Amino acid sequence: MTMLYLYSIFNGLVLGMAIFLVSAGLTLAFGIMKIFNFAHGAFFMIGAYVAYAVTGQEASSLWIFLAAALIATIVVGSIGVLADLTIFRRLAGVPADYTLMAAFGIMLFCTGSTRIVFGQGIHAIYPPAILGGIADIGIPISYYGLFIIACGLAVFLMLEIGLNRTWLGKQILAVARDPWMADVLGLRVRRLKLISVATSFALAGLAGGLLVANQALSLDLGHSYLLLAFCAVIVGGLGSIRGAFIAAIIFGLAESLNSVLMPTMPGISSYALLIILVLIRPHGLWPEQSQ
Amino acid sequence: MLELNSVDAFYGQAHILHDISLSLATGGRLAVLGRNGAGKSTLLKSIMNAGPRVRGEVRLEGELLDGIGASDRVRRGLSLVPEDRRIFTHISVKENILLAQQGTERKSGLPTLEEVIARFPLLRDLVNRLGGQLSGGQQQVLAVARAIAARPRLMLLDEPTEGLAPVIVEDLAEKIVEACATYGIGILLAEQNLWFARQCTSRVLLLDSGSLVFSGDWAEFDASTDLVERYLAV
Ligand SMILES: Nc1ncnc2c1ncn2[C@@H]1O[C@H](COP(=O)(O)OP(=O)(O)O)[C@@H](O)[C@H]1O
Ligand SMILES: [Mg+2]
Repeated sequence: MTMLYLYSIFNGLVLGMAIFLVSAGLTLAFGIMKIFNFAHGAFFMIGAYVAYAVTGQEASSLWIFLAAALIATIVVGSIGVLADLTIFRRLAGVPADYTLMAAFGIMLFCTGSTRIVFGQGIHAIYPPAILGGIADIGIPISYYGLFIIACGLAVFLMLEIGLNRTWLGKQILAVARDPWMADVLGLRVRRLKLISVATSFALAGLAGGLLVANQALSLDLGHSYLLLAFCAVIVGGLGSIRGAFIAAIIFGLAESLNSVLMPTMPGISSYALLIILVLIRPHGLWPEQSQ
Repeated sequence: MLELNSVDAFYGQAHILHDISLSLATGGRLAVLGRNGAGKSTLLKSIMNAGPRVRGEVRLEGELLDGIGASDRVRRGLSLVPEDRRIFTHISVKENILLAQQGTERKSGLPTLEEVIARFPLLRDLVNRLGGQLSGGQQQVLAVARAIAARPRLMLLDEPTEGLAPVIVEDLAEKIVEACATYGIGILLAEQNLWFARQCTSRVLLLDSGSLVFSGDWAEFDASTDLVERYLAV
């Protein structure tokens, strides 16, 4: 019995890190654009398709798998640059609703284009052989799960250090917190926003490339994590990387334990948690203060 | 150096400033007085192009600033200290100053951090403190220091004395005048504190409901006995 719990805790951590990988870019975009980027799930999906296009059903080595994820990061990040230059930047001065609708439109456009390029089918994707194994230490621990945990931690640390310790990151946070003053001080606000939006999209692409294995790759892939990622961003505190990280782990564990404890009511504990946490911490677990 | 010709300013449909003309010579120091809501902040923000929609001419060193955004006006030598200070809370005092200097994109001629701190010794022990950990008064001093560190041609100061203790106000006036004289910075100061405005400037404008009702030096201001009564008394 204990083993079952330990196993589901491990799975919960893996799921939590996967949720974080998706929510990292989402919360970053919120910090800058002050909207939920509905297109984020679609870009996650495109990242997965790009990786699939590089590796096929199974990457022949870990390096190919990582290279594919990197290519997905770059491709989707570049689409982010385009989206900012052609769409988001133009909407900077108008109410946020318009940006929200634009994001929705981009989502439809992305799903449509992906359908044209890759078709409707569902593809089974496997991790490279080296990550396909399982270590039995009393409970079966999949290498791919460990790999995802490591990736989540690495992305978290990179963002934490990148945003809080580097001069570029501090400038990006300045724009996120007070774009008006950043402009009045002479900062290149549009350039800094472009970097943030591109980073946000690149993170979606990276998440797609890393999480594509062990999934049924289809046009619906974007939806699979997006709901939980939205929850993590809300509960963590809109725009807060640390908050999203903690909340993603909480939701991952909740989902996983839920399936052991209440298998007949899937997902119920996530909804309960969302409601409870928003009631007791309406500004999030780790609110990003803004001015 | 600065010249406004028939400037009108709007927030949406609301017509806030009416037909404002003024000029300020290089290194000149001008106070803008007026009650709450008279349009002082709107005037400074219009000059900076940081909010209101502006009609009419704003020129700096003869150049028409039409269509030039706030951050590009920084690089032409303007610097605004907004009424609500707007210190960045997530970075240190030092980084707040460096950020303002970076915004000018000037390679030379800027005061060093040490020089800035020496002018505002209150900040000395706070250099590595986060902006968010400062008191309101300390933030106000930092907001002024940050603008001076950018060594603008013209500093637009919006009620820097608001909420400051009287001793600090006295000290701040002296520091501002000294620094601006050293670096050749002109001042356009929106104020309600007459004593402070007098210390910092040599000429006065008076705004009422968005229109200019007086312009002259302080002696002329004092000679027009009813001005304070009519336009400044609450
Ligand atoms: N962002 C804004 N939107 C609409 N009206 C504004 C805004 N800011 C100021 N106002 C209005 O403009 C007028 C002048 O305000 P302001 O320039 O702040 O005056 P002052 O700085 O002299 O107190 C006031 O009537 C005020 O209500
Ligand atoms: Mg004001």
